Amino acid sequence: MISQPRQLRRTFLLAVLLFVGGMLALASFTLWRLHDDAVSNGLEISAMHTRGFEDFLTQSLHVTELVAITASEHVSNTRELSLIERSFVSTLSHAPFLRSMSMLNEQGRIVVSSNPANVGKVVDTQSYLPAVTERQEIQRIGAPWSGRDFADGRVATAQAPVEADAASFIPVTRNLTVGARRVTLLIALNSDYFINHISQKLEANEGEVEVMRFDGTLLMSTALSEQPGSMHEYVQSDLHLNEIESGKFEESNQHKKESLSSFRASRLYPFVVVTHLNREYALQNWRTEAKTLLAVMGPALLVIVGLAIAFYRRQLQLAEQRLEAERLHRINATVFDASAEAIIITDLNANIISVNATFTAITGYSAEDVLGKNPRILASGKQSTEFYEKMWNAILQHGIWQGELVNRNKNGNQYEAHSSITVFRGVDGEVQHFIGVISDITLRKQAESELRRSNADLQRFAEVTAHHLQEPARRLASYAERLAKQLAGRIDDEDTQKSVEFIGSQARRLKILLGDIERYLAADQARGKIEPDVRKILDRVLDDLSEEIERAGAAITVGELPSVLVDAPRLVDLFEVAIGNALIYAKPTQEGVPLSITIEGEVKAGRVHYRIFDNGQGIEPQYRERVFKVFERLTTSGEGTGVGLSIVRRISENAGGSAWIEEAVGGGCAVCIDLPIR
Amino acid sequence: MSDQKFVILLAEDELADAYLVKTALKENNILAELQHVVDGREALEYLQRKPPHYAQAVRPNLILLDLNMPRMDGREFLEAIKLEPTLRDIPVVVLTTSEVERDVVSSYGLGAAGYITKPIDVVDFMAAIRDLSEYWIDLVHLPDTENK
Repeated sequence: MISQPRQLRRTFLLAVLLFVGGMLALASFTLWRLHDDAVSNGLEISAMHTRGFEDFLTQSLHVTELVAITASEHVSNTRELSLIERSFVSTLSHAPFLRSMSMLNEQGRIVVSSNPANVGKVVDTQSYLPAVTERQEIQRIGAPWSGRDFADGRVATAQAPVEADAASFIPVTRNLTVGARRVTLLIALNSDYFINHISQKLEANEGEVEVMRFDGTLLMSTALSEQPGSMHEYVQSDLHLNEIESGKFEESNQHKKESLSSFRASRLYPFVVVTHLNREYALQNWRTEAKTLLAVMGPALLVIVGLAIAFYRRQLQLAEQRLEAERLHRINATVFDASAEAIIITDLNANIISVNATFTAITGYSAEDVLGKNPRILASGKQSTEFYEKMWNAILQHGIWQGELVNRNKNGNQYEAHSSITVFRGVDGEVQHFIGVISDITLRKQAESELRRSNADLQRFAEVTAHHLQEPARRLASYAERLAKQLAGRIDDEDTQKSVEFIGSQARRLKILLGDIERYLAADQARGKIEPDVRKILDRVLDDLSEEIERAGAAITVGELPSVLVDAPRLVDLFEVAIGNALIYAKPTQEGVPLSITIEGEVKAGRVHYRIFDNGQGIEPQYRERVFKVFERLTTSGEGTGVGLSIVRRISENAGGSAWIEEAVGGGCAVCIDLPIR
Repeated sequence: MSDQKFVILLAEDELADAYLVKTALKENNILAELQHVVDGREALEYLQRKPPHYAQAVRPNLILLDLNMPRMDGREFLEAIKLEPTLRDIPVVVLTTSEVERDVVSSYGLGAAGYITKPIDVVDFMAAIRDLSEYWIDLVHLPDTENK
C-alpha cells in the first residue's frame, strides 16, 4: 500500500519519457523525411535547370551552325571578300550570341571577318572537339579565348586560363564545302550572352552553372571566380559521359561548398552543362519548415508535459489522500472492533448493516443473526412506548440521544445498558445512518446499588452513634455541673479546681460536638416544610441565640430575605451556624466598637444570595476554603467544634446551592450562601 | 547532658491536655522548661523565631505535637519542618488520641521520633511522660544542628 505513490511516480516518469521520446522520434523522422524530400527536390530543380541550359546552348550552337551554313551560300556566290565580310556583318546583326564570324584559309589564317581587325590572325583549330578527319563537315568547339575577339585575344590553356572577371569568348569552327572549295568558318561565341541568359534563370545565390567541353576544359561559368580554359578533371573521371548523358549528385568540396549538382551532355555538341544548386538555398524551405515544426511542437510538448505533471501531482495527492483515508479507515475499523462497547450501524430505515465483536459479546447475537433486522430485537419490553417516542424525538431533533435502559440478550437474560444513538449525516446534510453504542452497565449498576446501601448503612450507623453518645454526654455534663456546685468553695488546691472545671467544659463541648455531628449527618435531607417567610425563621434563630448575642454585645441588622427552596429546619441550621460562628469568633478590630452582625439577601439571576457578615477580623484567604472541612477550626476557642461551616455547605449543596466565604466591607468575614429561589 | 536547660515545645490546642502535660512534668520532678503553643503555625513561628512574640525563643530539645489543631495540624507541621534543614533534626513525639490514630499517622512516614497515646487514666499519662523524659533527657544526647 505504501508503495502506491512510488509506483505511480515510476509509471508517470516512464509514460512521460515514452511520450517525449516518441514525440522527438516522430519529429526527427518527419524532419528527416522533409529533408530528404528537400534534397530530392533540389536535385530535381538542379536537373531541370541543367536541362534548360543545355537545351538553350545546344539550340544556340545549332542556330550558329545554321548561320554558318547560310553564310556559306554567300561565300559560294562570290569571291569578293568585301561582300563576304558584309554578309558576315549582316548575319551578326541578327545573332547577338555571336561576337564575330570569320573565314580561315587552309593555313588557318583569317582571310575575311565581320571584325576586320581579325584578318591575318592565325588560329590553330587542331585541338577543337570533336576531333575529325579533314573531310567531316561538323561544328567543332575550341578552347576559350580571353579578350573580346581573335584580334586582341589569346587562347586560354589549363596552365594559363582566362583571368577572373576578364572577357572571354568561345571559338567554334565549321568546315564547309563550297563548290570545289573547302572553307572553314570560325565563329566567336559571346560567352557573356549565355552567362547573362543563365544568370537570369539562376541567380548567383541560388547556384552556379558551368559549361565544359567533354575533355574538361571550362568554356564558361556563372561563377566569377571560375576561369574559362581551366581544366576540370572530374568531367572525364567522374561523369562517364560516354555511358550516360545526364545525372544528379550531391557534392561537398572546398570549391563548390555543399551543392546539389546535375549534369547533362549536349545531344549534338561535345559540351556538358553542370549546375551546382546551392544546398543552403535548396534547403531553405526545409529549414523554415523545421523551425516552424519545432516552434509549434516544442511549446506544445512543454504544455503537454506541464499538464501531465499537474495531472500526476493531482493523482499523487489523490493517492496520498486515498492512503490516508485507508489508514483512517483501518484505524476506525480497529477502534470499531476493539471497542469495549457494542456498536451498531443501521441504515436510514433502522435496519442493522454492521455490528462489532463486542456487540456479540454483550448481546449474544452474531452479526448474521441481526444484519438487516431492526435493533428492537434487543428490547426487553421494560421500556414503555412513550420512552421510545421520546428517544426518537431527541435523535431526530438534536442528532443524539443518551440514556439507560434494560435490554434482553439472545438467551433471554436482561441486562442494564447505557446507550447512545447518534445520527450520521451525508455531505448533503441528509440523515444516512444511525450509530448506536451500547455498554453493559449491569455490574456498574450493581456496584452503585451496593455503594448506596453501604453509604446508607454508614450514615445510619453514624446517626445512631451520635444519638447514643448524646445521652452519656448530657449526663456527664449534668453531673459535672452538679459536682462543681457541690464542691463550690470547698476546693483549696488549684489542681483539683482545674480538674473540676475541665470536666465541666469538656462535657459541655462533647455535647455540642455531638449535636453538630447530628446536624451534619442530617444536612442532606429535608426535615420539614418550607417556610416562605424567612424573616420568621431568622427571628426564631435570633431568639435562640439571644443569650450569646447579649453576652457578645452584638448589634444585629437584618435586611431583605427572599424566600428559598429549603425546608425550615435546615434553614434554621444555616442561620444558626453562620450567626453562631460570628458570635464565637468575630472580634471587632476597632476598640470600643461593638460587634455588628448583618443578615441580608437578594435575588440574583433567578437565585437567592444570602450574606451573613460581621465587622470582625475576617479570615485570611488561605483558610477560607479550609474552614468548610469537618473539624477544621482556626482558633482554640473552646466553644467552636469545627463542624459548623461544614453543615452550612452540606445543606447548601444538597439544596442545589453552594456556600463560600468572602471578605466583608471593612475586612470582616462574610458567609455567602447561594440557594434556589422559591 | 549539658548544663543548659532541657526545653520542650508543646503544640497542643486543648488547654486541658496542656495542663496535664505540665502537671505530669512537675509531678515527676522533670527539670524541663515547657513552652506551650496552640497550633502548628504558632509552633513553626516559635522555631523560626518570628517577631514579635518569638524573637528570643529558645530552640527546643524535644517537640510534643498534638495532631488535631486549628490552622496547621500536626501532619502539616511535620511536613513543614522536614523542609527546613535547621529544624528537621529536632525530635518530635506525636500525641495521639487512640492506638488506631497512632497507627494511621505512623503509616504516613512523617518522620516522628515517637508516639504517645493520650491515656484516659491520668496516672498512666504521668508515667508515659516520665518515661519519655527519661529517654530523651537522660539517655539521648542530640547533635545541635543549629550551631553546626
